[in-house]
Amino acid sequence: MIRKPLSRRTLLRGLGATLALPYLEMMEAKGASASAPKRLCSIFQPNGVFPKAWDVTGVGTDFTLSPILSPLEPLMGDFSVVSGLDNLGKGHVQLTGSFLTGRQISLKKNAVSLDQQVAALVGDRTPLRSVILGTEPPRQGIASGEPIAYANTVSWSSETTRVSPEINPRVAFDRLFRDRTGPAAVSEATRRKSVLDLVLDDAKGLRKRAGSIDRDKIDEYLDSVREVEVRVEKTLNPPTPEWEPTMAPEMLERPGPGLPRDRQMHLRLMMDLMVLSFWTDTTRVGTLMTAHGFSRQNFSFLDGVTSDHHGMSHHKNKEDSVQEYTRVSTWYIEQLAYLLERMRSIEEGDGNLLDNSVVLYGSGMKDGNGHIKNDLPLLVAGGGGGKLRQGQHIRCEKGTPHSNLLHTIGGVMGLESETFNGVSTGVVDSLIV
Amino acid sequence: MAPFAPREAIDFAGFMRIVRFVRALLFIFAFSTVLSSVRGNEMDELYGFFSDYCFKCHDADVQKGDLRLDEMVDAPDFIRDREAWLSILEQIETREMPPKDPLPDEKAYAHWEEVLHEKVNDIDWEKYKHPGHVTIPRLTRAEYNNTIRDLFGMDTNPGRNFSPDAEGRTGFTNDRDNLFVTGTDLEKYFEAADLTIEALHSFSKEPISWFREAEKMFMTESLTKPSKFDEDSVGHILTNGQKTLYESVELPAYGFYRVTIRGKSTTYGPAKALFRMDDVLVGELRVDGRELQEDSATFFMTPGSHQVTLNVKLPPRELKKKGKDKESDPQYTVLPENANEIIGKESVKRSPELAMPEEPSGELRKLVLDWNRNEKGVQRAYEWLRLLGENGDPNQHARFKGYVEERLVPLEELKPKLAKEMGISVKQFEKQYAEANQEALKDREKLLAIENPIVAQKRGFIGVDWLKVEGPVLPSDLDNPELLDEAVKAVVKGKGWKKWFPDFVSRAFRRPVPETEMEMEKYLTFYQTIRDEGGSHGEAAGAAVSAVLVSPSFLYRAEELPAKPGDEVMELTDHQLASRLSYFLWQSTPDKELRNLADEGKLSEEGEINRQVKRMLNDPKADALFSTFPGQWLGYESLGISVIPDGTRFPEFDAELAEAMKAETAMWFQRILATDKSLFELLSSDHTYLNYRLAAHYGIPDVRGEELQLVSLNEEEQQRRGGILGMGSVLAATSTPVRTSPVLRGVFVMERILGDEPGDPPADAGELPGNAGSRGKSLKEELEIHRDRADCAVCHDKIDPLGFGLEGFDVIGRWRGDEGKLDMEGVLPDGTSFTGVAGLRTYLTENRREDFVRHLAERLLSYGLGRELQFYDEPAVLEICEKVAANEYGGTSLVQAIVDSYPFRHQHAQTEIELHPTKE
Repeated sequence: MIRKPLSRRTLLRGLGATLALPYLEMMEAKGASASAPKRLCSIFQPNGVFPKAWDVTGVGTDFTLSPILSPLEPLMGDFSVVSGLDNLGKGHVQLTGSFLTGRQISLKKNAVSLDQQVAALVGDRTPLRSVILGTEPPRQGIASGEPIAYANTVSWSSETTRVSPEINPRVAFDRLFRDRTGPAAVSEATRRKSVLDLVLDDAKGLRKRAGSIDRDKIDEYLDSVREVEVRVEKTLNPPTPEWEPTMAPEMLERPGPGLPRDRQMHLRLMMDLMVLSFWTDTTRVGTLMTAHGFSRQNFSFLDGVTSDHHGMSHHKNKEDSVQEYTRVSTWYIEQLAYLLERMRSIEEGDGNLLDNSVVLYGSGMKDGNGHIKNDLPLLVAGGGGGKLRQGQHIRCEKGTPHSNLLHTIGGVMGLESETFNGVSTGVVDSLIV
Repeated sequence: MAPFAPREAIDFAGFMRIVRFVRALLFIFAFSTVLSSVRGNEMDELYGFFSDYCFKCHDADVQKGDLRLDEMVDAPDFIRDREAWLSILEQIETREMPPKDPLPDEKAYAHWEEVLHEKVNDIDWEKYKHPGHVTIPRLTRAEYNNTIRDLFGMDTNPGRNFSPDAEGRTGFTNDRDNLFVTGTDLEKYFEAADLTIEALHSFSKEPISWFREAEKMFMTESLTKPSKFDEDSVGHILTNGQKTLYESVELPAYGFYRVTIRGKSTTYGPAKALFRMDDVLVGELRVDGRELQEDSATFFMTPGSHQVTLNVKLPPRELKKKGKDKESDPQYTVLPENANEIIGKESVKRSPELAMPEEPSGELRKLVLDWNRNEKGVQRAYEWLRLLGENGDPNQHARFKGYVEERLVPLEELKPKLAKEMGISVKQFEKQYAEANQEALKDREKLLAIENPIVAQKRGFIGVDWLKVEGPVLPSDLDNPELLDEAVKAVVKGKGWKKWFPDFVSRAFRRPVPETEMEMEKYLTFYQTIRDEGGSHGEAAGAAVSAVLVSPSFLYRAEELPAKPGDEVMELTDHQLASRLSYFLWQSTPDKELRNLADEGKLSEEGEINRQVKRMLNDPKADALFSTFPGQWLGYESLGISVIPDGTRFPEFDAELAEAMKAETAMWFQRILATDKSLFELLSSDHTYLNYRLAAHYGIPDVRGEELQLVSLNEEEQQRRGGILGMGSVLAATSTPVRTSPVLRGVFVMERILGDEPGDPPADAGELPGNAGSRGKSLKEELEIHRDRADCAVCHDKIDPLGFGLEGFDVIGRWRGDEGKLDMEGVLPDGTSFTGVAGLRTYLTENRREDFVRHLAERLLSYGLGRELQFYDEPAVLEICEKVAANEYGGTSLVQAIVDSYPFRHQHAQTEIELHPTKE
């Protein structure tokens, strides 16, 4: 991906009249607040890890990185490993579904995920409430009685509504960085507004005539109408931007069509898009599915790897398989390191973008061999706007639900509730300043 | 009396085999009040029996195979838990359980076998009649695209950016519970509606015509010199993937543009060019043979300045292999040097002739001479065909057949004139002429019928002479000109708007919306308001049409409830039925014929609906069903998309092969369902559909051409192919990227073909690595090791043998026979054994035929409804199976029986059913 420094001229020339950036107006805006906003970035990695290759030695600030985590060496002090937390449910589908909800999918229902709870809280302050990105299309079939397609996402905006990740870089780019304030956008918004009123009426009529079960579905539609209304309103009456980037954003070139065949290029492109959307304050909530929760992606592009990720995760402790498995896990952490370094390189106020973010990284299971759901591989990076104490290995008490970590992060992001989705039992104290 | 266990939501998921509905039941249990169960003595004894022999492994503490029996047996419900009880019964019948001492005595086995048999089979289903509730369906992405296509008569793929719909619990993407709308989706609906309006406006835009000679275009490999094609033409031959012809073109508007290429192939076979716009593949253009010719295709394109590129679609690699090129270059008849002379003589001699009447008028004389002169010209073309004969160059054949047609045109024009002069009718003239020239005309028929069996199969590289882009085209250039023309006139020009728009709203909402109703009035007012505020007709009409296209009444296919409360079971109205039917078979909106029948209230009549099903299955729109249903049922839909065999080991596998594999299966389903062939032909047949590529892959000779065609299989080929078990689609999709997997294939047969769900493996069971089977032990031996573990063996003893039957095929479905260490013998726990795919096929068609039909019926019903089946659907499934059996298992009769079934014709306000527990 080629980066170009951004000037208004390049912008207008490069993107034509149809695409402009949301921060255009910000450049001219007055009165943006001085403190940078907090961002939440949740990253899911499928198929677990080989425990011995992930687990770090030592507790507290004096700990040694494990082989898988070694790519994070340059970022020591910017993240903490949190161990000892347990997931619930079983199998790939449930252990993916619960990653950000802390609840087990049951009878088609889950709970609202951490990212979507935060989006509901802060999403209206930015052009987009949240951005959900991924790299792999939904897979088919049923596992443990649940459709594998459920493991396509960790983002749930209601008990029953899954938010599908956008996997096409160009579509994601166009959605993130479209013109939202120009004359074309205003006239479009005006048209949309009148149509929204009309169809809202249709939906209400339909809701009245529908049975109780179908009302949930129609409510989903009503919610989306409201969501679009908010966006339309923002175009018609642009709010004064709360945040002006300290460092002028570097524009990405519009990605080519289709899905990149190179897995690393694809994942990094999605990471670049995520970083840029935080940088420009297009959104403050981003979720990244590095791959599908039941990923069978072929990793033979890595030296010494012959099989697919899911296959090798059932390694039966055989040396060959364990090595392949660990090689892939390390590759994932290399990508994470890329993202974190990228975030750290962007200056914001006195710190950088990473300082103002909470990045949650992990898998819904520990060891893929056995779908072990205890002692999840999890780490939290970023300063959380000065609220997080980083550079430690925090070992939680045995049997602590991982929703405690979700609760902790939710608190940092401003969520106020007794528990997280009614399941957490406390917070991870040592992570908080 | 055993301690009472309240029914709670306990996870039975994965339990035994066929318990797919149990979860839904749990929902009911959770909300139902404690079911009072007064157990009779018999049920106490039943409890005792299970307690003695089963609870050890299946109670509150231990739940082997995820099965907990103590609660189930405490208050047995043979209706709701019927499938679970059926499989328990099967375990008792086969004495599979309990697996070890203490075992019941034979008398106890026999007794409980009899009791349970009666309990689960003698059920008065009338008492539990319930049509189920289909969640209000949101259109899937495919349904959206097809619906827009059929509403406007133009195929623009407006939903190109929608999020893909994932499969739900039914295993199908049309699972209505699984279709969501988020704010982002709604924005995408707005954008798709905008695109549709833009497309309509494009037809009134000033068309452009852009033309470039290939040698003037930018050639990426700049050392390449243009080649001389013939006297007048020079162009570029694209001999590798990198050689790209490049230009930039400015398109004024959204719209359909006709792209024409003139070119030739480097072989007698076809050659293809890939046409890209801004690096997006827009489509393919194709020429056949070595003669220069044109090909055009019409594509929907976006406005602005674009880079257009052409490069070759490479011939598949196995046909590029050295040495093969020459062999497969066909040997055509070589024409004699004096061919022209021969033709001249023969055509004079053999041409039919109109006799000159006696004393003709000047006019008549002129007409007769004219006639005979023309007739000789026609005869010349026929004589060329004779000379080419059966081994002629097919391109030449085509050319002279074309001449025949062309040259007959002036004769047709002469006919009425001659008849008039002769004072007879045209018919009489034709009759007299035919009688006078019987022999010559018969001879012509024979010449036309010459099939030249040699069709060049080898695809060549394309030589491009020039490229042309014209458009936006007129509606009349597209497939459905009338529908489109009306829409363009109404929306863009305002012609007939007042009539078109209300009709459009009714079509979009799939029910009559009277103009007097509020619902319609709102839209009319919406239009008028924009006009009153000074908007043009185009603006107002576009906004009104967009509004309809984002309305929930369009995006959701509502089957609203009757106004009367308490009246919760509703028979679908004819319009609702038309929609269900149409989305089932076409994934699209009802057409005019269905709408008219629904308007007249005739659709639901028995004879009529059967006729409609037959008609619809034979309509090209039914391709949606034939490609989606089998792909998702059998699980090969992702093949070539996200399921891809390892490229370094299987370089032969490419997108084109994957496409042919999937097309084979889709066309096979089409044949069975649309032409009422026996359902068992899905498993075993002496025919299949192949093109040259797939045939070469399967090792079947003499199949030519790129179109898939019905091929009859000889006896040896039938041992391998014919029926879905020998199809590449299924075989490749059930392999890992690097090796075959008897387990995946066994599970496929068990689960997808027979409907038995094996439980989940213990999570620490492991998978064999990529190099399994090549480490000194055969794959079968490696698998046998893991079956040493009892908790693995209990399922794998059933799964693996089925998979071994398919071991004769490699990862990408090629036949590898019994080479090497392959062991294709399968022995099932009941002792049944078979060898290879042929044996497996016999086992399935002879021993398991009813299971197969039943499972297919269940899957297709579930797909048709877009919901999971529930226990109360059992009688409907039984009835469908009976009807199908009575119709000799014809494919069409299966679809008709489904459409005729109680759940398909009815809708209930609730998903759940109030039941009394079975009284004992």
